[in-house]
Amino acid sequence: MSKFVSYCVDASSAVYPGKLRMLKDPPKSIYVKGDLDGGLLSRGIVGIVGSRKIFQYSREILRHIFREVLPINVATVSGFMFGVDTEAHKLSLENFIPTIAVLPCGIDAIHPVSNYALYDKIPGSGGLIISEYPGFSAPKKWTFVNRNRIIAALSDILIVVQAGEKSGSLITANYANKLGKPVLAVTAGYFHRGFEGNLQLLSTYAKALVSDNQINQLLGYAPGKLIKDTSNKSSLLHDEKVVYDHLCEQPASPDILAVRLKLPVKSVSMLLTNLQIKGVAFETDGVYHAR
Amino acid sequence: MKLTGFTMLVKLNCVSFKDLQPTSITVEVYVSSRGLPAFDIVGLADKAVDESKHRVRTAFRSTGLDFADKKITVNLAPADIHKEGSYYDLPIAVGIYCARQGICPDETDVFYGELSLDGSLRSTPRTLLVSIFAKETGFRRLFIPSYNLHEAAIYTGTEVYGIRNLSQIFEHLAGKTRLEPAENLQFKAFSKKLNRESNNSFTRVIGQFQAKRALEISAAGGHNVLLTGSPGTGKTMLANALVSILPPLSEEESLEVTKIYSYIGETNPDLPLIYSRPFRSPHHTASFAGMIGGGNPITPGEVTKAHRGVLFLDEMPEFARNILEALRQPLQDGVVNITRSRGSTMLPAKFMLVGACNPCPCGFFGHPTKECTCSISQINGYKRRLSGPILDRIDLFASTVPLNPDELEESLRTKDTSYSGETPIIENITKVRKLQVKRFKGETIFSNSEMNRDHILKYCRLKNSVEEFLKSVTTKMTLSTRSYFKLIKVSRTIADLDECGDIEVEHMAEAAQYRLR
Repeated sequence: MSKFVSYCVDASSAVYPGKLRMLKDPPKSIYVKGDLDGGLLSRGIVGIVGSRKIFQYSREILRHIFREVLPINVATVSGFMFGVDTEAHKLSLENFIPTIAVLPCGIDAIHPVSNYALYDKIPGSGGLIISEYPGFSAPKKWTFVNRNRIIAALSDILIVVQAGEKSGSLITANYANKLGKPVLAVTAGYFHRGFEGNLQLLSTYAKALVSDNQINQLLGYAPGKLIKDTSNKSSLLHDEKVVYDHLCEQPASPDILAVRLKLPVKSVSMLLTNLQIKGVAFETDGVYHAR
Repeated sequence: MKLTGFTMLVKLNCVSFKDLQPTSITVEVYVSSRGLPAFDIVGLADKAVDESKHRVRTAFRSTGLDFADKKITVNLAPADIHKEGSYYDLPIAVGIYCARQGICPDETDVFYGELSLDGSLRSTPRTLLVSIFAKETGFRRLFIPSYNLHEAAIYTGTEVYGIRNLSQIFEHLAGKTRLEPAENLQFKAFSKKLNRESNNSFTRVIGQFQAKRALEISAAGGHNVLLTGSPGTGKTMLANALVSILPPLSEEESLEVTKIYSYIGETNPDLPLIYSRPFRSPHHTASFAGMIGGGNPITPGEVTKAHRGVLFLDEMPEFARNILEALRQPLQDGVVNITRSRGSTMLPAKFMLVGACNPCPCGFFGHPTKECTCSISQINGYKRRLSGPILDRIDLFASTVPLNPDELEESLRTKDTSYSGETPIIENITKVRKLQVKRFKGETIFSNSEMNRDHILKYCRLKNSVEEFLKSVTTKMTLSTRSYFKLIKVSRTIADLDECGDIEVEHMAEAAQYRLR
């Protein structure tokens, strides 16, 4: 049983999130776990959404976003589903960023059950669990869509990490766009499967997510103050640099690196570990990418 | 044949098997000229033993002898042990002959073999076990079918006589034409065959250098390994090729393995001694008893057939959950216990496990060009089928990567860099294995893979720089304590392959590529 007790906040209440009133059909009341009045809602809120079927590649992108894109004093909001949502909540907790989970089910129900551990951690670390449904009511198809509109309304910026052709994230993005919120999508290759939604968004209203101070600017923050920048490209040794340069051109598996660079595979393995430790390369399904 | 009106009781020795353990059986034959002609076998005999009557009677006729008008009683003692199999034919036939002729066979003789209707002897399994048992029990002479002569003669200690047909043994017993015992083969044939077998299919696998290197390390240190990759990337081929780089069996190991195959009757009559390591690749629909061993009487399962060799589980997550969990004991202890209400049997099962699996049920999750059609819960469910305790016992995790046509062509043109040593790969591996045996002298283990935490602390002392590196690997790659120790074990083997006494940073950096992700 959860340590946190849920409570109901009426639309007329002073603590009712003002952003929700922007919606055409704001929830008449919301159910909350955690401290709604704790100053979290006054931060810049970044919505992070994406597919349930998360690729290793997207995991790495998320890690990168948390490390080098997000400013330190934001909050995040996502949908508590497995995949990108779960990863976004987890990374928020890891990086001490308060996070808001909007549930598609009743406030006291845990859906999906596999996120049991997250359910208590979020309010426990200054975040919020929000739902417009009371008690233990089960999620329905349409409650997911309704949840998406709340995520869109709470966000100041929405980042779409990985969206397939018919992803629910596109619905969230549409809500956000209609509410006038900037939508940022992760760029992916033309042939990259599982990112069709991203391309769709980028060809219409969404902007490409680029590093540096993009989020700071959009939120009107002063530049700088990123969480942390751990990559260390200057400290690469000669052979590491050779491998790194090759990866910058094109992601490759260790075998292909061994062939192209004419190195024994054991050296390639060793160099790749070093690059990973220095934080300049990452691996997805046997293929290495430069960061 | 002239009838003598003579009655006589003859006792001969034979061997029965209580599960895998041979026991001595006395075959008592009583031929009486009184009473109605009959032929009875008593002593808890099963169908195959009972049918022996027909084989023996016809074989006698084919040999030109007849006994149709006598009352014959055969007792297999002790009468409370269940007897089965066809190998009582020979002692029964010999017993009848001796009783009729008034010959008293030597009580240190053992007879073992199946008859054919034409009076010749057929190939009969388990003769090696009989030969070993005969020596240990103190029997001096062993009479078996000539087909199985090589197998029984592997083991020194008894005089082994190979018999082609009944008249041959009858003449021998009657003192007319004496048979000569076979020369003990020992391991002569063994050492000769070995050199021919050194062709190496391992280097014929195209590309997949990293996976090959992982297999080299696992062969050198006896580590269990799991290969992951999309269908058609070469997992099965690599695993099959693994046998070619495993060090040859030692004499004792060879005997252990041959005993198992002798029991199940899968030895080659001409070259009975098994000198190459067994490679077993059961299909994932295998039954529990087929994998672990079972049945009545107990038949060794695949884990025992893979003893001292490789057990390859293709599509490993597709195996039944209870089978995978039952692998825990053999992986840990090198034996498998089969416990029944009437007793428990321990079978040897010391093997190297090589697993292969797809990244998801359809096989294409993470594939660069093909789309995966599995749902997220299917993928998670698939991964969960390999439980923590099983993954615990696997030290190396390697993936095979699909190659596009360009990459395939490039790999074909390039020299294989997975192995860069100067001596043939198998010699290097054999050397590393010997080094480990020397290192663990006085311990109960023989390879790096068997090290527990105490051994690791004792034999893998890390230099400060390496310790420092290990710390950063552990934090950057979020390793669990278990993975931490596996990393050290694998580094130890890599250092051994490099002939380094100490584990260096480069060894550990390479080992980190083979961690569980």
